[in-house]
Amino acid sequence: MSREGGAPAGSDAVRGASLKGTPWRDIVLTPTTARIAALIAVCVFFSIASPFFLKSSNLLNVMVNTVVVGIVAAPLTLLLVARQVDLSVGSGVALAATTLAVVLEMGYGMGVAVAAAMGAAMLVVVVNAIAITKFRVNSIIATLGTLVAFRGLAKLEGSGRNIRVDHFDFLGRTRINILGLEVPLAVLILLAVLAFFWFLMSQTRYGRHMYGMGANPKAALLAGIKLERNVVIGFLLTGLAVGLAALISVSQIGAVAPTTGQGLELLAITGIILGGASLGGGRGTIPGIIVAILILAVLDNGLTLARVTSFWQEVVRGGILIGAVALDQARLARGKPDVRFEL
Amino acid sequence: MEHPLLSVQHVSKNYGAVEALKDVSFALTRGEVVGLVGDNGAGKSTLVKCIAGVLRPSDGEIHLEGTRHEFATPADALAAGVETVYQDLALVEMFDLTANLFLGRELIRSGWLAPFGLLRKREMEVAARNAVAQLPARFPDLDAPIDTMSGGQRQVVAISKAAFWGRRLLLLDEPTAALGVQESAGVLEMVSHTATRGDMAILVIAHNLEHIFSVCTRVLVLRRGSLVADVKVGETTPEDIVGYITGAR
Amino acid sequence: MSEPRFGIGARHDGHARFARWSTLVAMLALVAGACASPATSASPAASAAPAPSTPAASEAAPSESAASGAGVRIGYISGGDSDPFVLLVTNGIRAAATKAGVELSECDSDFAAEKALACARTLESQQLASMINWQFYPDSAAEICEAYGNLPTVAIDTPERPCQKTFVGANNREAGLISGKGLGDFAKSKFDCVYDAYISLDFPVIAEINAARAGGSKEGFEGVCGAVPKDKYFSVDTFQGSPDQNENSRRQVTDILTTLPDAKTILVIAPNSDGSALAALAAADVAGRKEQMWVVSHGADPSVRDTIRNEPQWVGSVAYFPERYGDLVIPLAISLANGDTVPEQSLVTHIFIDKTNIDEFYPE
Repeated sequence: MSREGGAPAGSDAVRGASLKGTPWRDIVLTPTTARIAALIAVCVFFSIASPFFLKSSNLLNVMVNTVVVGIVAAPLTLLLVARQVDLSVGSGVALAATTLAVVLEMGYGMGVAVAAAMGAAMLVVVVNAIAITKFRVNSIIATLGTLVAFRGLAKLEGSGRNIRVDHFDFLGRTRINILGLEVPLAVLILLAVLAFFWFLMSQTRYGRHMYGMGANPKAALLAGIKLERNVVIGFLLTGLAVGLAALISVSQIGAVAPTTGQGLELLAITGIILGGASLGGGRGTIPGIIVAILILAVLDNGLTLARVTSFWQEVVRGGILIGAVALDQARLARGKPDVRFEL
Repeated sequence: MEHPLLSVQHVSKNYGAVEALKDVSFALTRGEVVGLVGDNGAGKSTLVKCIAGVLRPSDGEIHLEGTRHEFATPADALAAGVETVYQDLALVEMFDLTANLFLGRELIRSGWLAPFGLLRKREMEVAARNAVAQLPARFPDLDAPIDTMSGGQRQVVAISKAAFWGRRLLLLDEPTAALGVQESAGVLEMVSHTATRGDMAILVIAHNLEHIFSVCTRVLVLRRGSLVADVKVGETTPEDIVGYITGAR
Repeated sequence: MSEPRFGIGARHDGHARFARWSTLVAMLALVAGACASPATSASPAASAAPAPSTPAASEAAPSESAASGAGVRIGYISGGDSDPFVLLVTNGIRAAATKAGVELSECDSDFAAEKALACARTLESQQLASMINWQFYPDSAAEICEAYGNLPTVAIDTPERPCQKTFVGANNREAGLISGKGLGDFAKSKFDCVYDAYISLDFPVIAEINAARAGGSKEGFEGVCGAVPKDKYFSVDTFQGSPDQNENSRRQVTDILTTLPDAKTILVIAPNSDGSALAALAAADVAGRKEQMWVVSHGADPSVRDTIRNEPQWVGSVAYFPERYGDLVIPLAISLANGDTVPEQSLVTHIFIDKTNIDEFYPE
């Protein structure tokens, strides 16, 4: 039975808050626009502070500096949206990179070494996934554990040495000429990874299920969504990204050290939370974290160009993390949602 | 003779020594709206969860249209055409109405993109709008997250979602519990509207006997896990029902 | 109703509660991790390996100790074996101990004073005759010393008063001077001291050692080429933001290169490690400017020996000889155990290793 025109008596009751008449402020001053404005502001500031900032080579460098963090931050966003975290990514990078170096040292070819490195990254994933799904350990605790354990394993594997890796320049040092710009291959790889995760999170059923799982796990379960399977897939994707990030990192630096990748998870999570993901799950988009990671990279780059002392740089970065988390907490406490959950 | 839509036969549920349900049997036919009442702890939610596939009965059988069903998960119940609206609604607050409507059952593209589960967003939106247009309720902005809606509106969303997918049975656990007078009226109207489709049976748990009497044709009373009454609304009064609930009758 | 296990509290308020709780835990953990890290691998060459200061003496010592070391029980508190340099020293000490027949009881303080204290207490029960102490915190030395029963101590790199009877360590300032002079001599002969930038890869987080080394480097360089103009001097904090020195070096050198588009000659000195110097060169390579950069590092770590040999842009590295520490430290510890007198300090004789002499010290 369909109804036309005015609703009968009683149905007025279900008419509630309407978005008509929402002040324009609330639509324009969203966190998204605030982030973009911040990025623009920071760029403007540094273009004034240093004549080198706006050079195309510098801007490309800024993007190069986001590659390793960005590749790792993308799957972390997916996980965080589903209310999971993986804090072990830095150690995963270390293990994969060390494996690559050690296998090469042993005399094996590049193909074998790369395969072994990816295998090492997946090993971390398997342990994480088992701990979280089989043993029901909270993902923060589980991946904190693997962060420590696999860092130790990497150090064992490399005997605590700094290991040179030669002849592995391709991923990290190749530049491709596009429209007159020498674009680093690594940046193109990053863009591909970001595009993949954007697509996955916003256009597929899997992505939507991950949002649902993070926003209301009970509802997701009752709707027949397979929580465990989806989380495992998320971790698998993280493992692939970690392996790829390790390969690029080694290629960029030409060496592996016991400290390789240390601090990566902190940087990635700063970027993700600044980019709109919430520790409570259900929120966060790839475009959001792209802007956030760019803000952080521009800050690093700009402060170095302007020759600001490094300790100040750390203060700024730490302050941003605190600010971003505080905003996130405030938003959670108010219960105020972003207007749309996906861009 | 045609099989009843739902036949609950001698269902019991034990938690260790606690008997939450004791040998409960009843049947529902298409087009019926039946109320399920009882005091707190009488076993109403437990019974609904057993039928919805969230819990497994310790004993007894559940038949739908003559066929026995054993639901291992909620998904099994959904597949059998049993839709449930839980007390906390099980809606995703951050999603809009369309996304909630299709949660877990999203329409995806076929073809080579099928394994990725590419969403057919436009089609889902159209389907959702059509479904909503049929309802007695009005929603000012279908694109807003349902966070922005009132409790009553959200209840209607949940029920319309269940009505949209339901083929056989609709289970409503305290749909009016948190609502005021006006909003409750709207929800009850929604229930009646759904019943007029005629293809489903609806089981409604409620504490408010007035609400029960306004939409239901039959009332089941649970007391301490046992079914103590199965009466037609026309043949009884709220006072009688209270008697059954408390054990005075 | 079965609760989904990852989501604690499916209700709206439970949602926020979970978020707050998890934020707190995550932040605490990350901060703890970040705080712990700078210590890890703090000083690539923080502990200088005592190179044989007088070849005669060092040759004499091992043979003496070989006989007198049998059965002597000696303790060793390592500074932090997760650092490649420290590990090299530790391995050298172990090898020398085995050779001398010493019974070595080890404990790793992992760059933390509290752990060093715990080590001391553990070792106290081992009935040791003397101690080799390499924990990094001089202000805690007295407490730690008491905890291991005030055993006569060979201190490595950090003063460990009052138990310290002899000090063995890097001569940080001397190492700096040598590296600076090496770079300066090169710059003079190749460019007549005309250069566009002097980049120092520093570690201000360990202030004293950094000041000695980086300062010594600059002084040594200036002794040959004159004062470094302020606008040509760059100091990079390789611990900025994380302990990943290599990445921090790579990133910041990349940015510095951007500010020097017209530079033709860029000098890099790495008083902290070999790895960060490698990373700096990699950064130049990526920018297509490798031929403009000339590098000197501290350590002469195995990872750069091939590079010293074969890389034209690598001027040289100051050797700390970590692997030879053991040969000096163990005999000293044995002497202390036997109650003999020992020299007050033995500092490493650092050698500037470049293409001309690497085969002498580290033959392939």
